[in-house]
Amino acid sequence: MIEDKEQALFGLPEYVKFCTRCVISNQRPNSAVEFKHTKDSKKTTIRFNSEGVCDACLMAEQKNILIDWESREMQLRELCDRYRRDDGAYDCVVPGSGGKDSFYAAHVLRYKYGMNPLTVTWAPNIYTDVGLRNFTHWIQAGFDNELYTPSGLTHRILTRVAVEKLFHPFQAFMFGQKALAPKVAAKYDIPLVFYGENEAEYGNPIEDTSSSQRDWSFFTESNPDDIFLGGASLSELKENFGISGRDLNPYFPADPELIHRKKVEVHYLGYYLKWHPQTAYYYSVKHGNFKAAQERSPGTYSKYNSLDDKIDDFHYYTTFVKFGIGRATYDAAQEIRSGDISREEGVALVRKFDGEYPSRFEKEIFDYLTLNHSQMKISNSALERVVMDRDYFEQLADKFRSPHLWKKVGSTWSLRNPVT
Amino acid sequence: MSVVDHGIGNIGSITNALRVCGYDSTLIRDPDELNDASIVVLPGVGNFGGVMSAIQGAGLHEAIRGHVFEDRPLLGICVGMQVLFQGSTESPDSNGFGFFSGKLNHLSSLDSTKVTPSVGWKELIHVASTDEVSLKEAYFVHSYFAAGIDPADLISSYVWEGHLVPSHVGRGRVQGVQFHPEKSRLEGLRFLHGVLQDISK
Amino acid sequence: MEKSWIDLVLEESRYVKRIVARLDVKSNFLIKGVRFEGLRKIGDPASAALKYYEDGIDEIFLMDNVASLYGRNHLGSLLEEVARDVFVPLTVGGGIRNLSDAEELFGLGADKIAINTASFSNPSLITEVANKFGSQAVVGSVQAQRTLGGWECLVEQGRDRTGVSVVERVQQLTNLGAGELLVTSVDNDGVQCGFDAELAEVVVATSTLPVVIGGGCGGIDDVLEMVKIEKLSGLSLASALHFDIVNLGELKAKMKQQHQKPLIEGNFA
Repeated sequence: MIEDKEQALFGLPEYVKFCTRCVISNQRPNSAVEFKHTKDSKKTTIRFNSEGVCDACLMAEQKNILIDWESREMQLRELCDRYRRDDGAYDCVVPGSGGKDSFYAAHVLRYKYGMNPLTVTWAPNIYTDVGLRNFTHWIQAGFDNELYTPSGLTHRILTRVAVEKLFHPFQAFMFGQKALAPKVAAKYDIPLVFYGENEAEYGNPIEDTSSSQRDWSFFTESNPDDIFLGGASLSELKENFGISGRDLNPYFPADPELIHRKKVEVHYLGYYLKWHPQTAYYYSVKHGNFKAAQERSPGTYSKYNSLDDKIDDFHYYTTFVKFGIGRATYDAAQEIRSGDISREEGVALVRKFDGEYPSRFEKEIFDYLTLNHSQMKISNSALERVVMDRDYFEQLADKFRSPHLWKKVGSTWSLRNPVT
Repeated sequence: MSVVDHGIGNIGSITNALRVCGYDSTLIRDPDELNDASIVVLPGVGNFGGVMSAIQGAGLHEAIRGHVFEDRPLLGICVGMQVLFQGSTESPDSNGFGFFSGKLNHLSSLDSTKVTPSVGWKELIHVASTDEVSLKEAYFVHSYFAAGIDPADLISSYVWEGHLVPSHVGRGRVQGVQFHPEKSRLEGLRFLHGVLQDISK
Repeated sequence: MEKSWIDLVLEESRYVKRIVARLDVKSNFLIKGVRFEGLRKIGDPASAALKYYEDGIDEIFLMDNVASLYGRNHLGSLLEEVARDVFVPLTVGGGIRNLSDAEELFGLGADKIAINTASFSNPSLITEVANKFGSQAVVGSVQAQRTLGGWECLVEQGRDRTGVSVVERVQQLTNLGAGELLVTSVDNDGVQCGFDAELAEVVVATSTLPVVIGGGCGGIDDVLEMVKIEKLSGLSLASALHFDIVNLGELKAKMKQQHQKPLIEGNFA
């Protein structure tokens, strides 16, 4: 119980509450439109209904009870029938990394629904061994793939800037992930893009799931002056970090005019097919010899989620710092909703693993975040420190620890309200 | 039906098995309880010395001897059979009951290159053919075997790495089995039932 | 040269390995994963155990999958239930931390207990249990994952690496007093691609203890392949049984057939 009302950063709800069914807290931010994200942005967070059940759990309930999956699948077949090409041209774009979900999506579209997908990948910051292996196996299972790797210099700078201003190392990656597929579709005149799951399955407002199509505001933007990358304006990026407009092209969302003209439609496969990550795991093991990691990821118990990028470890660590929600919470919440684990087990898993500091790739990630490449043009005033190390990282972290979530006991930070 | 509960091992499995055989077991923890015992089953796992001290610690040593000298039925299972012999190299400071002559030695003394303990299902080789159902195979798990036994006491053996090793011994109303009849499926249970009937005739 | 009947019996027994059913249990559900991940609920453990017993299984291994999460083994009541009707050896593992954990399980019906994770932080645990209950009651459980040049031991149901090689571990477990080894291949677990024969060969060559190998059985032929490893004591099956891929009666018949000698009836000494 907080004695004095502690200030909540980022516009987060002042009192921490946990969903009565899963382990997610009311601090979980909904997917943001990243290129409008600055340090002053106020978060919209996951909704709980009057019984204390979160939107994601309600969505899961709908998935299990209400939705007529047969009819949804029929709709998928009709959609595929409309777009299928037999002349060798690609008829749809499937973005992904070769993880279990994109493996499942591409495979089922090709081999069950007879489509001719072009898979499209936005490269990770730093490949993990298992990620690269699975990516290769994905392609070997029978898919053409276009890999887009943005300039390493720009990518590192944007990632570092995002860490400084937003404590969000994953942001630069997310730009590509969200925008690439429609852009590729437009470039090659492929009118259909299939994403996997709808973010609402994880907690975005439930109304978002009533449409099979992705909300355009997520990936299109008309006015470049309204764009912030890494929480920095375009002019700041230019003046302080030597990044110009042309360097930023890969990060810019698609031009809505172009999308409209090419009649590109973006759909969620998760609208048509009941998505169960574990089933996707089994499917990809069976059909593509997908391999989970050799050990659990730091901060969680699982071995098969988000394996591709070494920076994932830090992404989840930063969400733990900012929202008190770490990797184990995300993994457990999802498994509770699919009925794979009980809430009791989820709570025990979160208490055991959440927020574990990711030492395994620390050195590599800190080197990556250190902006000392000779070709980088960073102005002296741009960063407090060029070198990223543990001390500086923790200093930054402390700026993002909201007092309503964290208290310091001696020299250790601990959550005021761990999950119960 | 009395089962000696010296605290070492899985008494539950023997009482379950006896239940299926039609016997309601009383657990014996102190010597007075043995006075009324009709049949006594002596289970045992672990090591020779441990079981003997537990028996002595509970004050059951004399009571068990008394039971046997009064020609009452007793069946020893696994280490419960081993303690019926004179002693074991496993626990040199411990003496067995000595109802059977012979001592327990480690299997490696027969062949040190082979895997021990001897674990698994082994075929039984009976000394004399009998009309009754004789058990074909049973589950064993042990590292020590009875050596130097009186041939008249041998009822069945099995082959361990090319050597014959006693699996079932008996004299009068006292019998012992190295294997676990309560872990040898229905056939094991039938065997158990048969033996108990035999020794209580 | 004519073989003595002892030799015949001996040969026979070499080709007939113990078949152990491995049941992973969580909150009273029978579960199964692939490579120790993606655990799915697939049924009721008590009825599965009973079914395998009736079909002729040699031994049953009950593994508590969430034990180390909650800090203790919760299979007590399942064990009691199974022990009432199943008259083959029962091994229980998962979260056994100290002597009293072991004692409790023996009291409820376990014949053997399997230890993995706890013995890394507390090596004397195996020795303690072996001293009190006999080494034959202690199974050293190993989760083996392929690594450069060999295999590494994992703990906590395949979640954490230890940096300890399987070969080293096998020696440790033998020295600590375990009576048997159960080595499961993490890479082959649930994949039904065949056992890791190489792993089996290495372990039986390194150890003087009876070895049961598990992970990867995809059919009767996979078992028959492994039966050729003379010193191997047994094979552990999970998916192959849970998903009805292997018929136990058929398997046992084929194991005996394979070495093509008739079963000897009524021997005399």
